[in-house]
Amino acid sequence: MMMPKWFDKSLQRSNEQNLDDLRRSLALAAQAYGSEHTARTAFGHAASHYRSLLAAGAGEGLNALVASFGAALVDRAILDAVCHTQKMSFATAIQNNVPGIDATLTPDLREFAFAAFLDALLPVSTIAVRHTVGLLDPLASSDVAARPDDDLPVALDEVIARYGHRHFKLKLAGDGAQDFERLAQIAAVLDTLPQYAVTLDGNEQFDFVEAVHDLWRAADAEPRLARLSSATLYLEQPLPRELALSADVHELARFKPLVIDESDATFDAFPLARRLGYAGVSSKSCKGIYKSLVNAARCSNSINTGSAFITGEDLTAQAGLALQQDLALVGLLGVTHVERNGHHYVDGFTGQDAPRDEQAAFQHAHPDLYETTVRGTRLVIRNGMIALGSIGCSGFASGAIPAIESLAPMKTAAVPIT
Amino acid sequence: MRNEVKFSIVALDLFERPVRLRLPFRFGAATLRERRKHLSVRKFALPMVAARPAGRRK
Repeated sequence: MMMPKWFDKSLQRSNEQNLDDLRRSLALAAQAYGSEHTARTAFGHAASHYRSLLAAGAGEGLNALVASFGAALVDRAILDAVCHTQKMSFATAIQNNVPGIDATLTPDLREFAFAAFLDALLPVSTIAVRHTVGLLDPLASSDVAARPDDDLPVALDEVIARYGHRHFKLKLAGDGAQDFERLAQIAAVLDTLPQYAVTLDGNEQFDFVEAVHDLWRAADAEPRLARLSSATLYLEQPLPRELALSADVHELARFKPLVIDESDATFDAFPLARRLGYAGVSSKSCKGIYKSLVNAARCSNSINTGSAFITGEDLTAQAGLALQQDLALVGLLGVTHVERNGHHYVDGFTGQDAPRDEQAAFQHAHPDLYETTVRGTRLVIRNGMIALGSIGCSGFASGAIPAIESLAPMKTAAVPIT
Repeated sequence: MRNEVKFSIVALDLFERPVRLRLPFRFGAATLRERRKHLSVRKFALPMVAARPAGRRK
């Protein structure tokens, strides 16, 4: 989904401008890829346009995360077409390195055996959903002030009862006192479960390293947070991207492993973050499937650099191609739980006004992934898990396509920022 | 085993589709909401790209 205020959190840009920036990024990528007629591999196309698209985006005031968005989507569409022409699933195509992934963009992996690494990847058949508890989300049914006109859960306790989640991602506001109390309230709900795991997301909201230290220390000393603290797997992107890749975080990482997310905007970001003390990096298909794959390669290569890991994050991936392709990616990377809230914020295909025929086609092609009721076709989550079997079909994780006639041509991208 | 496929790109078609939020949510300092009786207005879009590669050879 083209989301305002994630790729670019600047309050100087309106939400509408954020959307236009993403459209502009897509237009730049489509123009670049479409005007180059040299035969290349799928990854070769990505590599050949990578630096020029970053530069073109910068020239129009688009930050690296925004500038990479267009190519990320184009790369997925190209890989889907390649998978179809080869009659291969995404997993088979990657295992056989059909896209031709190499170290062109990652000199640190020049000696790395990509073929052996990719060949050894095995897609998982199920994946746990990590449900994100947003800063505005009610925690108990009694807290729900306004309920949408559907039969889906709203409050955290309702979500747990409906889907059976055991993995959670908790958003932090970067305000010590506010975060401390919010975590204690969430812990009161989660501690009723027999077991659970959480990750924390700083969302670039902490102004400096010491502010995160203060929250850790306070949490460690608070009995209400004892279980939640021990169940915390890692902290994602506490610092703003302008600071994150220049501040040493080794001391902070002694509390919990740290992960970069927004700072992972370029192919050279993760090695730099590793040197500063970060252990992990998020996979998010809107940041690029190839970046996820080479970062996973780096993690597998961590014998030289200590333990490193990749996580699956995406708050808003929507039912259909976006959801399925991201699941296929993290499933192939061997990630066991993934942030997944698109179904919580949008009511399945109905929330997209997808035609009934399209909904039926996705349901038919992916009966393990969706269920259809009178309210439309929605993602199925049982016991906190999503089944991934049907996305192993030919093509990039989908046996159905959106009804083209129901889509609008992308709006003309906006006026450059600068 | 290396089985890379080379091709050129004939066309890329860009589409989008509006999406309705059923709940508000927040990134950082910005709260994203959609029109409901008590909420302010935001519209979002789901982008889609269709690719048509041509000519492939090993």
